[in-house]
Amino acid sequence: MTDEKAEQAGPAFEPKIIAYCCHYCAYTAADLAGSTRLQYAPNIRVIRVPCTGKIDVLHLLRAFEEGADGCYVAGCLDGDCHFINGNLRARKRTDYAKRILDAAGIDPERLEMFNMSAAMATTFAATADEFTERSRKLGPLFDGEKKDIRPGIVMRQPMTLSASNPPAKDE
Amino acid sequence: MIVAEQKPIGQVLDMIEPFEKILVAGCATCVTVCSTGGEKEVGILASALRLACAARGLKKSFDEITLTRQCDPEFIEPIKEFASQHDAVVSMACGVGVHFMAEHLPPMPVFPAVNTVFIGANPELGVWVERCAMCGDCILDKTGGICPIAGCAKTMLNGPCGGSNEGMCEVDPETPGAWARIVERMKQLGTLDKLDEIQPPKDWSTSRDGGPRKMIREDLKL
Amino acid sequence: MAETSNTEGSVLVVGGGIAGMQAALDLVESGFYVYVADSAPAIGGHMAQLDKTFPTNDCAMCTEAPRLVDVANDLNIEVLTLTDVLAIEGEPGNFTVHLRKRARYVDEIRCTGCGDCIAKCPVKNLPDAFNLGIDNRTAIYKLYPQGVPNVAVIDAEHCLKLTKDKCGICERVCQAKAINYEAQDEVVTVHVGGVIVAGGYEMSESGTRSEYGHGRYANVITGLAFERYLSASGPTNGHVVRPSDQQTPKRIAFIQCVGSRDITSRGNGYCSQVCCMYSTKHAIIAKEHEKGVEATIFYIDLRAHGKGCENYYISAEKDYGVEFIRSMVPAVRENPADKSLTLAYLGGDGERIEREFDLVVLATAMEPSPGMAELARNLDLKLDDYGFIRTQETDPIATSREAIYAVGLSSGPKDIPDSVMQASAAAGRVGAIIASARGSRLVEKTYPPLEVIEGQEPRVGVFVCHCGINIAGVIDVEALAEYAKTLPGVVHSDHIMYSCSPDGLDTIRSAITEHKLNRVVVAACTPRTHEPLFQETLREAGINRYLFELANIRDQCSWVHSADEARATEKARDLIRSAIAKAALAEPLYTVPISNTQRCLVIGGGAAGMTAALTVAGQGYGVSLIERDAELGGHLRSIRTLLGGDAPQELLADLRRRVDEHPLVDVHLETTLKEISGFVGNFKSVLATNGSTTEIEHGTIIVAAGAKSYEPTEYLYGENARVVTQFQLEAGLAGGTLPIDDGSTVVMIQCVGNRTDERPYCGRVCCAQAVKNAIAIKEKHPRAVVHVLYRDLRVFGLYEQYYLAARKLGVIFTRYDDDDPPKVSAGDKLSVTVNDLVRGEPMHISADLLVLSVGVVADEAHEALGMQLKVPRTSDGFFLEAHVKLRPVDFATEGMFVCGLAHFPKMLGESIFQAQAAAGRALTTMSQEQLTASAVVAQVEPEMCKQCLACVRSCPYNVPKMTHMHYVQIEPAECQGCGICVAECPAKAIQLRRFTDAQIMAQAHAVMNET
Repeated sequence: MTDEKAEQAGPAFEPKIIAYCCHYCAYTAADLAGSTRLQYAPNIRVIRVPCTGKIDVLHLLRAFEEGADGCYVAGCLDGDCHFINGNLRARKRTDYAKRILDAAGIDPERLEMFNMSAAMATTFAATADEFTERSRKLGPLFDGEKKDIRPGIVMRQPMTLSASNPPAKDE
Repeated sequence: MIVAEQKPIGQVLDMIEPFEKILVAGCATCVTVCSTGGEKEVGILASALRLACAARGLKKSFDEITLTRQCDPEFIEPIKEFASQHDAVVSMACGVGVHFMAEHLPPMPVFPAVNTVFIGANPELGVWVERCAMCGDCILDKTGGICPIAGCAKTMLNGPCGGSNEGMCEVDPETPGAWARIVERMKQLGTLDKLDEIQPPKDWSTSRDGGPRKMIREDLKL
Repeated sequence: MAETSNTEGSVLVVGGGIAGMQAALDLVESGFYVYVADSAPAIGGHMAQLDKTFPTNDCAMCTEAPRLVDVANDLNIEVLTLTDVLAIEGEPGNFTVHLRKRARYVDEIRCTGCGDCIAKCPVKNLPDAFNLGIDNRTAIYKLYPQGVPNVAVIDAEHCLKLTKDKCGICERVCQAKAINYEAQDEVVTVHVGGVIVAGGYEMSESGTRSEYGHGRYANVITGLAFERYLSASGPTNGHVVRPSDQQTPKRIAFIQCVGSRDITSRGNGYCSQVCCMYSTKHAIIAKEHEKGVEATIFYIDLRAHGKGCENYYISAEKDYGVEFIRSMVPAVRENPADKSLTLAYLGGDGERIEREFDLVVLATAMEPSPGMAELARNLDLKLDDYGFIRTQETDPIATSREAIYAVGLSSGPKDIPDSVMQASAAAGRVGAIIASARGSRLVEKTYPPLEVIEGQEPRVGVFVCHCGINIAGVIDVEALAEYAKTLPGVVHSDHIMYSCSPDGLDTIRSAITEHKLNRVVVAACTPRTHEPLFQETLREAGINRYLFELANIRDQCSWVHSADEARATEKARDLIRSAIAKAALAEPLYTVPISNTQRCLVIGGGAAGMTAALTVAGQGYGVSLIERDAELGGHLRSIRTLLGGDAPQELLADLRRRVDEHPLVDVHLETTLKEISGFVGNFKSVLATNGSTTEIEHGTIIVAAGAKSYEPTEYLYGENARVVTQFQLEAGLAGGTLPIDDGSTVVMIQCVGNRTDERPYCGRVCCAQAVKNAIAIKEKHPRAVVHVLYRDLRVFGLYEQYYLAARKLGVIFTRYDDDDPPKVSAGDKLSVTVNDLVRGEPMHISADLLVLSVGVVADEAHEALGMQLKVPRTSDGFFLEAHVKLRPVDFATEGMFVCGLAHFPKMLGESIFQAQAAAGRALTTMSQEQLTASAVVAQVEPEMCKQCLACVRSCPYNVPKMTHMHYVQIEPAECQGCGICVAECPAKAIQLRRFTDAQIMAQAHAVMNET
């Protein structure tokens, strides 16, 4: 099925990937990849966070809702977290989100957590390449054209409209 | 506190199959504290359902709301209008909340997204344990503060049973038997002699076996 | 102390390595202006060359880079690179120092560090010394990519323009017009109150010994070169290869003590202290990098005396399978056919063994840096016999000249944490001399009043940077700026050649005013280095700094996708949308001033506690010093002599007198901490003294609670009067109460109670103590026989010289096997039997006195103290610092510090400088009249909080607290800003400012969707 999808999308399929990167390690490694002019797949879009411990399951699912074909979290090496254990929590949450994706019928391989140090520029570049390749093989997130997922309204008591998710335009 | 756990997404999808506009409703009390149905989990479930529907090619929309409590009509009242713009409600509250939403919203389907599992305690982040079986006739005074009904797989009132092995439960050898713990605790308290008393058969009519329960405080009710 | 009105509130730090940077940052935080002079073109020192650091295998650059950025961005630190000290005149508190700043040929202000010149330089074959010549660099170059300042430098000896007046390409390609071939050396004169010498060291190659063939055999390299091979940002991207054939070596030998512990003319008589551990680290990492690598370490004594090091060593052997062979390798031979190397050495039972290796790594000696002799001459400092700056055990960072301090490797080999501690210690010490001038030299900027933007619709200004051709060469920046105009909220968009150049910043400032911008997005390089600069520009234009966002379209786009312009452009559009979406939701944030009680509580009245108290009081702040015993002194009371001849009891008397007399130090004897609450700047403590209590308020805490001596149960101790500990021996020698004369035989047994399964760490001080007492016996009774039975003799660093001295005096050192300790039985005398591993047979000694070298063990009482303070302890029971390498005296909790034996066993001198360091670090907080809480902190929405405790339980710093208010409170002063609690909160009642959920999700939406 996966191969079929890839074929349907044709050879030109370029997945789009959101990478949540820790400021202290992966984001720094990405900058170093730049300083040393490593070349890697231009498919990833980095969102910088102070610690991968800031990433919650909803951010991971939201990446797919927004149409990403893949998403990964890149945090510090085990034991190296600037905030002691944020990366370990991120790992647990990523695993949990993978189970949700699986239950929703989305290949959990589209989501991953990686660990790297600030000096591992080559690892950063290789990760971007390998994950792009993985996502390319998995094909577009949804068959055919990108599914138009309508954002919902979010309310909480006392009854206020939350700014976190604006109402869909067509309503 | 009431402890609940989320149902598999597939089950929820089956329930909402005929409906298009869905409201996912959380509850900001027990199920928030047990990380099952608070605002965060509502967001996650709604997101998961949107993804699941998209993956299946289903056109559905999901809005989100978290009520202060779903088990009081006053909190349901202000959301009636908003709820009625939807075809169905998926409640992440305990069974009481689902029930009350169904009773108090304008007639519309209300589905449970969680299973209410027990009332218990939260000793550490991510762990919940059962401590009370809501029998309606507390005997903790006689058992050193450890409940043999909630704590023993067989709800034995005179234990330990012959199946316990070095204090561990035969149903789950990882769990210390309630009765072994009761003996240990009462030894500590110096009240072991209280166990010589034979417990008469328990009156289960105060428990669920007596039918739906209701409590009235006459002094509070006009 | 210079109290005159001409005291300078500034300090010169010579050397910009990790120690120099630490000293500079501590001083600036304490209110002093700092000059950092470094002879290299970029600061960072040797640590920048390291891959990882033992014993945690932390990435060196990850931990050092933030310090580099802090130094670079501080308005009150002036970095002078390519600079050496010429002369000093004046007096403590008011020195004039003349410096020579060599020509860089690149204007530091104009150069943006873009690297276009480097890419075009035709001279490409110069060995890159930073990489130990493993690869090459150009004639115009940067020392290393993360270097500060991020400015190129021309190698005048090899530049074609400067040598032959040809070429000139760099001048032509530099769009910032930063190249200046006419630049000249200049003399810079600075006025400072004190000087800190953090002059670093040189990894010696002179000691690489002709017999090891370094320089002749391709596959014999130094440890520092191996470090560059391991480094992920090194010349081979972290792949270890043999220089001869670029193949991965399968068999690697590490030879210790190359040029160290070597009294021949080629070597140095001291131990370089860190090599045993860095070679162990090399072996572990080599095995982690490549499966199947065999790593073998040849050593004399395995010196794992640091905190966490013994376990590191054990784990290397047991878990990683690193082979440790106790044998000095006499020579290395190259096999001409495949360039592999044969090592011949003596095995455990004396047989000659030959083994072949693919790569040989030499643990070379750390020697005084090449400029040290001249620097010492120019500053008029005394050097020791090895060429390090001479210091004393009882005053370990003071030099022969008042107000000039020597830290780090300037005064002898040491590891990173000790260097960092000495740097903080020097900041604490020099601050006392110039305290009266605190703040007088600080540059403070004045800003226009802030525009009130709350409630306004976003008016975003976008500035797309060309960065010369770095961005514009790949991405059409003009089209991008046009595109940004179409995005929601954007009211102005422009493109700038160099947004970070002075004229670029001017453009941004005027646009803010002209277009009434209330949010600014710059699409350029990385926020890691440039965000502070642009934020400053916003503030100068009267808008809040947090209304800024950087889109990283250079480091993470044009540089890494230069081969695919179309897709790089598409990505840049996405990144700009993301930054605009985030900026549109940005709110002005304000750092919150919090009150600060400028008083310190010091727990423990030993050498460390008293030193810390005096250092704090020396800068004019009050101290409450509590000691649970009835008298001050702690462990120091039982130290009677010191290696090197300093008198410890005189030191003790002096410390006691100064503490007693100091008007700012309140001593509370027989006192313990009963209760404590509050946070940095605002602690409240209840002290219990013999049943009565006192309440005090203080802003910082220094834990100097000491440790205990191990009470032995081994070797008939307590049963036989002839068995004593080293401390009892020391007291007996001082008092003449022990029956030792010229006919006596004394046996010392090392590692009693340490390096056992129960206490798997090294006692650190016991070998030196044994050597010290053995020398004392031999000096008094030359004919007495003294045996020292040891496992590894760990007389590290410069103390090594006393081991040699003891051997010269005839002390007999005999090694026993880890698993076969000596046996002792009592008779008329004591009978000691040990299996002599060299002779291969048991040795029987009839001893008059048996001395047990007992280690320092953690005090059980500290468990309760740790729980009170909510600070962690290691599995060995010592207090655990925030970061083993770079925050060696800080606890993770703000405002709390640790020093002395409570941290780990250490020599007296080490306790003293660590105490001064703890005080120096505490003073960075204490010297502020008000503290500033970071604006990027977690914030609780009280009405949403369900008190579920998820945040309380998940915060790594115990910051969220339950209050009587029925919601959790997160004190901004304590919050570290990680956002872990935000993600855990099931009620979504917490948001991390600057990284709100709404912002992150808006970014996710914007990068994926055009609208």
